[in-house]
Amino acid sequence: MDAAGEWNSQLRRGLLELCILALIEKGPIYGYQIISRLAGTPELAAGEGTIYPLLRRLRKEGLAESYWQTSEEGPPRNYYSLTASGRKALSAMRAEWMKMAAAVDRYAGPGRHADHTQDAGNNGTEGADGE
Amino acid sequence: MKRWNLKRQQNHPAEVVRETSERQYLETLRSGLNRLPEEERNDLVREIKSHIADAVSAGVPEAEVLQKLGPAKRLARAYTADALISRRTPGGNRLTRWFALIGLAFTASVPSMFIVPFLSAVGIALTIGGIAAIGGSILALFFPSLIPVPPLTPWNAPYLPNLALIVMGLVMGTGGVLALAALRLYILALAALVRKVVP
Repeated sequence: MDAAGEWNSQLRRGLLELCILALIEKGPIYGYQIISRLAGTPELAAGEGTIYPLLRRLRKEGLAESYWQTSEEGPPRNYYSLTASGRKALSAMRAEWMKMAAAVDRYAGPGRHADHTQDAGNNGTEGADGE
Repeated sequence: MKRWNLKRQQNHPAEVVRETSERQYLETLRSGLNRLPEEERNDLVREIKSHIADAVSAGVPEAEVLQKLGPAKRLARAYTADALISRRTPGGNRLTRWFALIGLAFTASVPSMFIVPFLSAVGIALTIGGIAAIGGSILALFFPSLIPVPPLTPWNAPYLPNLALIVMGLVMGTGGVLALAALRLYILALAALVRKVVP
């Protein structure tokens, strides 16, 4: 795996957790539904083999809880919802991600270069600092 | 529930194949999860079973569903790897973390210097010894002139010494395997302990 690929998979792991928590927040949802929803987002490359173990971990960490409910069409389904601490973790992660995305975008966003042209607004204070 | 069972029984040959390969997948998964508590294991297998049913009733061919889940062994490993690696970061500041590390050195490293070599030596020696005793005494049955087996003094029954040797070999081999299993458990426990301190 090249450097970008390795980095990408690391990045994805954390973001996938955020996305799954956000999906679970919207109400009781079962594994197959989560997977179908995420199937529309190939960027996350979230396969079944990743999501089910992740769901287990969220339960273990007390962020999500689940209950079994019988279904009309087949065997019972395991429905997930967030716990109070899951809700707290989600809002913290969400805020963190927004800040991070905005910060990264300032430097690495489309058409941006990591030079000082973006800091034009700060020039006054910079001058004061570097006397 | 009922309707689902009926539907399954109607479509014949393909459905039969489907049953078996699904069951095989779930069985492999179950045995791969043998380190987890029974209740949790049941839950996980049940959830995957429910997933397969949902995907199949949504019109995805079963082979494709299983392929997307990935090999059952790998799925089991993904479950158990996550169980070992707790993401919880050690609490406290740098100083308490250092104390935790030093504590780990005394509680884990020092005993390990004795326990690991002892268990591996005993385990390997007993296992090899046991196999050799069993193999030798069986060979001695066929080539008595090549491998003379001393008689078991009070009784003079033929083959009794060989039988005694085989039993001894079984006991030794079992002991060896148990020692190696204990070593494995010890190392796993140690790994869990280390991960708690050094995430």
